[in-house]
Amino acid sequence: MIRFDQVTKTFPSGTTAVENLSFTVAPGEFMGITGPSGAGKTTVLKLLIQETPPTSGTITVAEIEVGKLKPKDLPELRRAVGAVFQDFKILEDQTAAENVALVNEILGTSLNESLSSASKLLAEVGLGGKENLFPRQLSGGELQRVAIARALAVKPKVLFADEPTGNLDADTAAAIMKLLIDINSAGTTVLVASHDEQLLKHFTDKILRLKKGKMIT
Amino acid sequence: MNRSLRTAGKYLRRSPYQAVAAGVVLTITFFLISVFLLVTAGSAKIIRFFETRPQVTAFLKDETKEEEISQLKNQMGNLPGVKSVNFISKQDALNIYRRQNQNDPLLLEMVTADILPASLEVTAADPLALTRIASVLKQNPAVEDVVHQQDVIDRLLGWTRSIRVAGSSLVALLLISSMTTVFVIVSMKITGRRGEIEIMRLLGASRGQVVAPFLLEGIFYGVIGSLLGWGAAYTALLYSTPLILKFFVSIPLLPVPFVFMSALLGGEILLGSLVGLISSLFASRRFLK
Repeated sequence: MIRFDQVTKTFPSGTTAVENLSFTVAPGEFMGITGPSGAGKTTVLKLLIQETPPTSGTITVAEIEVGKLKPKDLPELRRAVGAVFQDFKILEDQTAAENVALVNEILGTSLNESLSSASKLLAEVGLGGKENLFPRQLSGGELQRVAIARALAVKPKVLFADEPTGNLDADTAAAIMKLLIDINSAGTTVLVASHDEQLLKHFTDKILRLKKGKMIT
Repeated sequence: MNRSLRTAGKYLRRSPYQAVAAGVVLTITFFLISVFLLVTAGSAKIIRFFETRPQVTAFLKDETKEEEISQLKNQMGNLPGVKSVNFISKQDALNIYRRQNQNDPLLLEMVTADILPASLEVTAADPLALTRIASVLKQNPAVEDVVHQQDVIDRLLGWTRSIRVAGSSLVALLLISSMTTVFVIVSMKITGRRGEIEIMRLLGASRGQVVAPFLLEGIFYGVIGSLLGWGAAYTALLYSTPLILKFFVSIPLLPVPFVFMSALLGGEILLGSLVGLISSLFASRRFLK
């Protein structure tokens, strides 16, 4: 499903965020990526959705070699990988339902249909009845759930959540992780990046440890 | 498309002052384009009016006797290429003047038959005969001055040429300023919505989906500007109709044909859309790399 082969990413500033990174994630797996700040967890997500291209090495997602994609083919990749960003990337001037519906609208579904499926998804992540609230009216945990619902809107083959429990209290963090486990149980391959290794250990045995961009054992 | 339209509408609602600024600049541009085209079409019509009336007017000296006039009339009537000869006495000239200025009593009070010259209107069967007729009239001692349509047409052509050059330059300048205004406004919108654009791209929106609302916004400015500019020019034309009718008494300039006004509106909407589209396309190319 996902394969990183000797991937290195060096930014123009000279900083190497990821160095010779190789790992494989099988379809339906739940994998954790952990490491301290600056270890390269977010860079892995950025490489996966081609937000930034690798300096060397190859990345394959669902048989597609990401590095070889032309700019016009990128939207297709980004629709196949559901991403939950560390900073949520939620539109402040749109309601929870509109934020989730956006993905389906991009795919050409009508607004009413997109809003209706967004309401169902929000209910699935535990936000039933909060469809019409704006981001400023939601808590951190609720915003995280909106971001997860949005990532699920396109029924992705892969879901990557970057620090999904970042600033949440222990109970909310556990609830979010439980939600990701449920999503994985339904057949979606899930990658979770978190600095909290202990939390990840509660939910999966397959953990990739990073330090200064390198894999450690 | 629905989403792009909705988003474009949202962008417009959220920054109404920028939309008004763009609308005003484009309205002024299209108002002046409409006026320029109406003036150009009007002058062409005036020239055609004179071209289709091959006529020479000879103003007679006040002391000219009736026998001399009659002799000149016969001489011109027998000249080859002359279609008709019409004598306008001082009293006839006054009657024509009164008819033309019937709504202006002040002008009527000041003029009497004495100060208006009698004249001979010689109509040619062929416009090419005008110069020959004029030269025969000029040689006659009873004739004070000769005016023939070619002089009028040449003078009108000169004016029309000047109007065209000045008008085209002004229109070009205004179009450039309109395009710059739309470019700046759309660029500001793109810069202000960087975050939203980034999110859309990360969620899999194509470049076309990201750019479409901005292009639609540019087209909207162009269409609104052309509609309002055309409407303002048409209103001004209707408002000034009595003045135009009074000034160009015998030249049938008005009403402007419906087909002409419709074609003008259609052309301006098309031009407005292109101005908006090209400007916003440049802005999105510049700021959405």
